Amino acid sequence: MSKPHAGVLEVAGLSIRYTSRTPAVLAVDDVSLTVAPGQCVGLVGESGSGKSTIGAAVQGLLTRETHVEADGTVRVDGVDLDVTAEAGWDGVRGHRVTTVFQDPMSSLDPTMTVGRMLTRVTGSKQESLRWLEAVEIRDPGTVLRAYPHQLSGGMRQRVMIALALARGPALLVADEPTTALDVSVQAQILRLLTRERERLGCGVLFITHDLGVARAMCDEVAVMRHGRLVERGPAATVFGAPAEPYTQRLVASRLTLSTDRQRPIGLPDPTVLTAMRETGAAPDDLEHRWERGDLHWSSFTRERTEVRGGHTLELAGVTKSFRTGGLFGAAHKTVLTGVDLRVARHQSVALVGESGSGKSTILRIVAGLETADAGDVYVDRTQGAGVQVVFQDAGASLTPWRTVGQLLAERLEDLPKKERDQRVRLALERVALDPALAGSRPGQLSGGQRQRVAIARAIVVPPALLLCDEPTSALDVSVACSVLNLLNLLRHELGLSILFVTHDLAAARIIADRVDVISDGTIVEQVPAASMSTDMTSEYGRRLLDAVLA
Amino acid sequence: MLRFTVRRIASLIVVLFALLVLVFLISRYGGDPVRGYLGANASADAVAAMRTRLGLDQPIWVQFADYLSRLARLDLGTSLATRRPVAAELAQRIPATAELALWTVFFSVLIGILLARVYTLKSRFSGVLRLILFSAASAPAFLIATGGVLIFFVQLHWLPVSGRTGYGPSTGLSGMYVLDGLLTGNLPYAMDALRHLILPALAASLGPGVALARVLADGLSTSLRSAYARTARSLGETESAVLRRHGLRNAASPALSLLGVQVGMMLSSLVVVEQIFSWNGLGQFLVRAIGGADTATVATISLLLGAFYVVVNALVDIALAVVDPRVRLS
Amino acid sequence: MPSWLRRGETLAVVMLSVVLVAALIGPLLSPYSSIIPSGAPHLPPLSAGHLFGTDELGLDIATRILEGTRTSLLTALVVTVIAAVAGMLIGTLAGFVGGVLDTVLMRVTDLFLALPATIVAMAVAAGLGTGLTSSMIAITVVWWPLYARLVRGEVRRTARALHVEAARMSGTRGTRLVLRHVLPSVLPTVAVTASLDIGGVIVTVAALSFVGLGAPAPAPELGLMASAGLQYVVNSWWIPVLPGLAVGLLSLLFNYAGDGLRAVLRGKGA
Repeated sequence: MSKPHAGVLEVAGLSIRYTSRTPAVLAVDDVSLTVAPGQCVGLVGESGSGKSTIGAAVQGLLTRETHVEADGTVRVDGVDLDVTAEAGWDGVRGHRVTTVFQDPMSSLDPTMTVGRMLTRVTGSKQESLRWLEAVEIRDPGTVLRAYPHQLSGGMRQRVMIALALARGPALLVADEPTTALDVSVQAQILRLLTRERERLGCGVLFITHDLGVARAMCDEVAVMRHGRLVERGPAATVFGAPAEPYTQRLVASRLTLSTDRQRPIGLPDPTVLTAMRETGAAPDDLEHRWERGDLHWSSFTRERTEVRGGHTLELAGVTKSFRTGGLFGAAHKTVLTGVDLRVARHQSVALVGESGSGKSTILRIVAGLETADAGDVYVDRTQGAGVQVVFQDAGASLTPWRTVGQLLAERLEDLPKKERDQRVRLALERVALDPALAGSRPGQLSGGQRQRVAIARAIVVPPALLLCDEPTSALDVSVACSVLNLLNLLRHELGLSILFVTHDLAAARIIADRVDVISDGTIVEQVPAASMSTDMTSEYGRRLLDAVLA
Repeated sequence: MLRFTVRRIASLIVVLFALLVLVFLISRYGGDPVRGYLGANASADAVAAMRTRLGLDQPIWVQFADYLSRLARLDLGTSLATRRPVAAELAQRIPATAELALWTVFFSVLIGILLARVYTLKSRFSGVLRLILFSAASAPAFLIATGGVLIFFVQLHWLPVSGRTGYGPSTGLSGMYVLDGLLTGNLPYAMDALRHLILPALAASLGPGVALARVLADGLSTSLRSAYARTARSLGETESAVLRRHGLRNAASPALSLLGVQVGMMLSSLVVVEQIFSWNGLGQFLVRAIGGADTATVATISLLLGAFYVVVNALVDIALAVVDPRVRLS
Repeated sequence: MPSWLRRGETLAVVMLSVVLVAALIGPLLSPYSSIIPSGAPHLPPLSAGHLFGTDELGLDIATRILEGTRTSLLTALVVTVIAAVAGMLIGTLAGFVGGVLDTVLMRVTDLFLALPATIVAMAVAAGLGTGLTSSMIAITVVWWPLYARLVRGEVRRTARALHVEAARMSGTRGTRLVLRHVLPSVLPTVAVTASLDIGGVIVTVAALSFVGLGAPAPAPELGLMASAGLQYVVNSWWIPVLPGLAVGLLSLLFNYAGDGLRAVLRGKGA
């Protein structure tokens, strides 16, 4: 098997069908790609593009599936393999090709210590310790005796990387390895992966939906859509001058710290265009102006007669702690310490922080879903119907057995039926949803549609304050892009006050007038969104800025 | 771990106390203890005298304290059915039931593991198998026991169906005949006791065994489909190593906690089974007490069986915490 | 899952309906009384005029089994429905109101759940005096906490779900919130558990009757028939076995139908 070969992974004409459903689902359609030793190839695509199926196939994880058929060839480190048959994978899977999976919590056996898992691969305790040091784990002796749930997400992913690299594979498959992690942790893990790749000289197949990550990590990228390779080439070329319309839209949808805040983001999007026309304030040659970069949000801003000034939301000295532990070991964990936060009328404020920073607790307190232990919470309800929330997981925020119409109408219980239906229709049109969808249940809608229903529900009676809890982070980039555009449109048209909670500085910058950075339950700084990258001075803020991939 | 154990034992004590109160209430207010002793035709004077003698005219908490102190002194009254002290009856019968219960647990685990193995084998007989398992789980213990008697005694003459031994009570220490036989080196005696055990223990263990098999099989298939099993495969583990190292470990804890709950079902099956196989244990005693309307004795036996169940479950929980780090820290 | 298996569940439902109808009107159609001898004693099954034979007193076993089945079904239905409804009320209250009420209710529930149900039922039934009614009360007393625990857990889980918080933000509160956004997700679970439970209740009722906690002989109760007939097992096996088989079959049909219901509801994604 020592014949000369060009790559550690060579895939030629690979097609994979799932036959459990009729008609069979063609998950991968005639895909060819090569990974050279020491090279990092990105496999980029939105959900359902088939990228993860390829990832599973090239490490022999489809051999035991009963309803899978495949054509084409896969060669790993010079060994020809059948992705649907077990023969030949012995000694390749886990040795020549290994994987770092997305969710390090569920990917590690909860009943085993790290040491037990790692020593199975490394062979000895000394080697395990050495590997934990190699993946930059402080105090490796303790970690060796720990169970996965006792470690942080970043630590678990480091352990996962040690497991995958310990046998010195020729090919490493990285399947969304940083998606479940905080941005600053993500940056560390990506650096670690790059360093280890250079040190060990293995090829990496990097599967991700995140264009920024792919651009930062990969020498070459292959863009997938509906199971087909749309475009491939050097990363700089694909991201710098995409040739295919799909890639162009994808690249244009990506937010950076230099994206123009004054105009709609991405390429002209039929959904957003429809919503813009509904406002009645749209210029005639809408689509062309957007394309030319000549469409400004300011043209949708309505004249407002009421007095300006005043605050919609004022938090003063808000503290909150939660009880942890039980009967004998009751302890309190402080989540917020003296938070002061104001949102002026018609202002949009983004609250940016990582998981555990307390940002979601603030949102829940403002929403009235939690109560503060101390401090004042004031919402000016004269400006609209209270506080409304758009959650991250729109699917889960809509009661599955009620129709879209029923869900929206719940906020209109006092109105006569005719007027209620009218208002529901209007709200759906505002977010560019077909009013006929009022009869559907959430399960029948796509992810993007569900998020728009959630927005329609929030604005069917315009609220005094709209809270957004990471409304785009669970969506594919192009869908996220249109949701952000819709929110911006509603903000300008209805003059909504918005508190936008997110971990994503680039998204925060698009939607907000001001960005507040929160860390460990305290707001560490407040800067204008327009000059964020220069004005941010706090250490934590700078770290978040640095973690945003250019 | 220590904290978990302390907490579990604290809640055990609370439950035991509640059981005591319940049993006390039943033995005081259930039935009429005075009429039970004196018969229905006793004179009003005799009844009143008896009430005073039994302390029934005292306030309730005095009665309860009295009840507790008599429990502590093992003064449990006289059985109406056998006219012997209840404490003596219990002392004789506890080893009999304990022996049967231990073998029942053993058979349940054995049946559970074997059936779980068959369950996970995919075959075109899986539907038929499911029907058989369902039937076994649905059948009342007395039907299985009666069926066993018909097949293995009446038809085949393979196994005895009455009592604990063909020889006579054991002279050993434990009162568990198989163990005594082995300890004294009397092998034929142990074998005979074992033959007497098989049918009653199997009859009581079939239902719990099937339930255990289902949980075990479910747990196995869940953990074999899990992300950590995928990780293990991607690290080059063979399918049987994934099953051994990850599947069984993760499926063990739900199975173990179910086993604890199933002990309750086993106990009630044992009551019925002891009656059918003339097994001189607590269950048989319980049925006799029910037949004699001896509510106080029924309550005492229930207390004993209930306490056994509660203690077993506390032990299972502590064992679980040892096996599974998640239990201990949750 | 092969289609014939689905047919198996359908078959169970059909057979269950037949048994229900037979149990309801069967005793009326039978020419015999269940407590007056109607033939020679110890007639084997398939004897002329006695499909399941006669017992030691010459009572027609088929008639007695039909009547016993009716009693068994009614008892189990009443017990399950009362336990499920009571458990649901208490569980919903505890889960939704929370706080001290929740703590108190769940401590009581936990106490019951920590005890062996059938043994406690036997003790309670003995305390109440023998008879079908006291068995029913005893079983209900030990059975409701199961539902209270289940419903409380489901309600708590659902009440924390995002869609309920979102509905709360929409201004829907109180009873309306529970009825519209919480209970619809709890009901299927309770229905499945209840239908799977009926089989267990039938077996428990029979077991209590078997150990002498039901009506006295010669009442046509299945458990009693099985225990009273046990002494004739060597020569007249049908006297104890047929009533036992009736209990087993009833329980099996309910378990099968309940499992089918669960599969259907799960398939619907409920």
